[in-house]
Amino acid sequence: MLFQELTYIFSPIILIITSLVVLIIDFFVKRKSLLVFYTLFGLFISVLILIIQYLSFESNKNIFFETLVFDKLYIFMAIILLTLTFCIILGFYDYIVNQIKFKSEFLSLLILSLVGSLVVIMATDFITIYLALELASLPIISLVAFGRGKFSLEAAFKYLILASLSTGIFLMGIVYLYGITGSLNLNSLDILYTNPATILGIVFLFIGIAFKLSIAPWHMWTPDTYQGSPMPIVTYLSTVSKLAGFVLTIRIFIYIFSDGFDTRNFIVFLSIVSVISMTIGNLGAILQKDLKRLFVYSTVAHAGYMLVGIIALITNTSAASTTLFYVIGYAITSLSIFFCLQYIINLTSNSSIEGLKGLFQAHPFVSIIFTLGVLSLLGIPATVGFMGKVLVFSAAVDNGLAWVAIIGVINSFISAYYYLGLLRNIYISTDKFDQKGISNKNYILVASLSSLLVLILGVYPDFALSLIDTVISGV
Amino acid sequence: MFNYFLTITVFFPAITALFLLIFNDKKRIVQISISSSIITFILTLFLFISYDRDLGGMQFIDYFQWINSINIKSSYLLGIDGFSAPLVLLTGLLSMVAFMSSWRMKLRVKEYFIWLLLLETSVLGVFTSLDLLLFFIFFEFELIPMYMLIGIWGSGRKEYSAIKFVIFTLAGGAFMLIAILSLFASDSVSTLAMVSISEINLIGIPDLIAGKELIIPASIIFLFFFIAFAVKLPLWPLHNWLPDAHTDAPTAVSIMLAGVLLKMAGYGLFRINLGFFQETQGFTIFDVSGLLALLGTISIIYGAIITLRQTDLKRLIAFSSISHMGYVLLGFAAITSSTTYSLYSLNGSAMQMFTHGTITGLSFLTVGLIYDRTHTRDINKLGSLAKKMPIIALFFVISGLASLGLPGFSGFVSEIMIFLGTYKIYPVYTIISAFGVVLAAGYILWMVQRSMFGTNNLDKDDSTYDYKDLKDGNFYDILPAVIITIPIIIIGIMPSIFITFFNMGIKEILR
Repeated sequence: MLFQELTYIFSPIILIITSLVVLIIDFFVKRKSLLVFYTLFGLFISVLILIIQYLSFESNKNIFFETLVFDKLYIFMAIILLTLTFCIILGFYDYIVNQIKFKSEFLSLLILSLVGSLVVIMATDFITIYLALELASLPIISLVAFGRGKFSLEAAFKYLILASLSTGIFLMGIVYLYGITGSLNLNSLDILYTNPATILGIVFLFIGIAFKLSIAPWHMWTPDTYQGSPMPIVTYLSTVSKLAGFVLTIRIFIYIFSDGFDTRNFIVFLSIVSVISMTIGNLGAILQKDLKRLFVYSTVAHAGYMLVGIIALITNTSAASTTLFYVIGYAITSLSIFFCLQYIINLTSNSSIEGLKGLFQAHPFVSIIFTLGVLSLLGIPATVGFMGKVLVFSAAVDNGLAWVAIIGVINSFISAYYYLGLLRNIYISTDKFDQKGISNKNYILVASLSSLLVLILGVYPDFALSLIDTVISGV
Repeated sequence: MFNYFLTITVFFPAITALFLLIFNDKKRIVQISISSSIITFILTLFLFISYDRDLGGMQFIDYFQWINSINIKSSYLLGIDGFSAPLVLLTGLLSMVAFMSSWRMKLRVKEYFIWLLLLETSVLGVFTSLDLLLFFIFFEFELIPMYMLIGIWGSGRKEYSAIKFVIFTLAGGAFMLIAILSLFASDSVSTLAMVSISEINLIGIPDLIAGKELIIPASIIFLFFFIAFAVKLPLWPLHNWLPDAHTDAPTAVSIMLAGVLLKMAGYGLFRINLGFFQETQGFTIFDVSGLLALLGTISIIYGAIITLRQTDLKRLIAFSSISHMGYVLLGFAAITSSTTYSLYSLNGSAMQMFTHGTITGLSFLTVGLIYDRTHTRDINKLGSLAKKMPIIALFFVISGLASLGLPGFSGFVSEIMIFLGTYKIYPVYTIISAFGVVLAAGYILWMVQRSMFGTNNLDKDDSTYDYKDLKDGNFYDILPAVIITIPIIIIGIMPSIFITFFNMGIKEILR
């Protein structure tokens, strides 16, 4: 039977093979750009397999002794994660070929981390989750060090230490839950009654994940790591890693809470965390002068908004779909944002906000794409960011968390200050654009596609929502 | 036959904006945008004329399910009734005037018209959308075009004014969003439609929340909606953004801002604050109508007194707007219970929105023409302009006289209607507010006298213009002024055209 179960994890297997073969063919090919195409091919094949699996999906399967689950949520999210990675590698083709020295290692590690993320979203056993999280984050540490700036090593080290710390805390949480329930499996683990140990366990579990999701006050590694990392890795961290982390949170929270458990205290805890995250993120972003760091803090703030949805799903699991919609929308938006950033940084050869001045006059197209992304982060109507925020906050109000929603809305109003500051530099400033370099048009290709998606999902979200609804209801 | 006619009208400017992207010739862009605005005006005029007054109710309904998630159910629902039809017409008219007044635009022409077209679509959307979320989307969407229009094409401290405008409006919008979400979170509310429409079996929020318990007390939801609209109206003490935004905005944007954007707030007050909170449990709008009248009175008097001190023409008109929009709230407050209310006042209040739109539009238009020629708006530096530009002066005087409520012009009609109704209910407030009219006469006559007549200040060294070279407006300058003067005079003589509409709409909003 075990052999047959391999078919369910066919696409992670293909990715593992891809990552190994990339290393091998590195010895034989002269044109290193072929490596990129080979990786893209591997990703493409696995996406195809996933799509076939999605179309021929019959029922949920617990595979490999119930350590993994094969359900629609996994397939759907896997398709999205793979597509995002595909876009990142394709869009940053120029960057990888010209600015990364060890191309095969870079690609291989990236794919390995992706495999980790895929396992994260299908794991239902705490040991598997732990291993998958490690598999997802260890390659990132070395990938961060691939950056050539002076901060890269520091960034990698910071990430290494804090990632280890967070896994430690995560393991601690698992230990508590295991001690109480005697089970490591999400399927059989039911927290039937409330006692300090279970609460402590869940809180530790959450903190472990919160590190990865850069939720304040556990976001300290994010600004430095993002600033030091190469741009593909920043994009990967804020889209793929983040999505995987949130799907994991959604899955754990859907599984472990049963009626016997009093979630009120935990909800208060999460609400406070989410408010702190939004506020620190937005206030931090106001102070930034560097574009990359500004978007890092905006990531922290957005993690806070996403947490609002997570809180709502504890009381009402149907809120999971709105949270997922928001997270996916955010991932699409940041994909577009970071590609535009890379393009702009190439043009100005530094990443200060001042460098944006006069951008629209010099490069109107990239300005418009970038603006769409910024407006989506700000939550202006007709973008996916707005829809996501409305849905998440409405889920919160629905579940009696009106005060969190109010603080969330106030926060997104504070964020207008720095987002509009960007637009002021781009459009209103009369200074001439200070162009120091040239940029490859590749970056804009993916950015414009994803900002098109930002608009489509913002204007007509119903299709995506109903898709996500069916996906979530299968869990 | 009229399926999606309203949708086409609303989105026609936005489609033109997309269409403009492929053009580069500045002259062609101006021509296309102005003709687009004329077509939009004709479409709105057609809507206004073909609205069936015998039938009443919501007409030209466009409806389909839009978002159908667990947490929010929203539909794409457009329609106009007697209350919104004149406002749609006003939007079409003022947008046309605003576009026509921009024919001289030289700086970044393409962007300018694209933003202006998007602004027009969002305003039309506000007046026609009958779904709360859709309403909110259009209400918020106007921010970005306004930010750009003030920030790029403005004058003076334009960036400061633009961001101030956005922050005030966003803050108001934040309150409105919370109010919408908490309305929907209530058990009894299953749709976000703002009105009940029997033809498509839709039950709106007013019927759904009547007598029901809400998740957040109705008084707080009312307050949140009210704050959002009070910022936009603007009501003392939330009026701070208006003078700056007006002063620094380009002429066309001032026309749009004073002419139609402020009316979105008045529309919201009628449609939402009055429409929703008449039969809610624990709290109704009737409980606070006295407070509303007080706020309106404060706005009228405060605005008028501040206006007296202004020496900048645009700032002066901006502050007078605060005073004039105070009348809207005063008339609106003449609803003390579901049986005691004054249709006179409510109609007057709605009329005041329409007339203030046209009159202030004309004021800003003429001030814009004067500024184009003299490069100053300081009353102390102007003078005796009527000799050099008699036609512009004529329209400036018309706008001034209409604004102070001279019989025969539209301003008189709305003000007298408001006072007729409120005098029975709030005699003290009405008497105090009536002084607003006296003050208005003061600042307007003073303004007209100092700038148009009197002595010219050419002798002064810091004069920014050469008095001898001043030219009157040409055909293209005067045409929009003529167009906008027509409704001012028509309403002054024959107000019944619009009053029948408003009366019908308001009666339906009152339950």
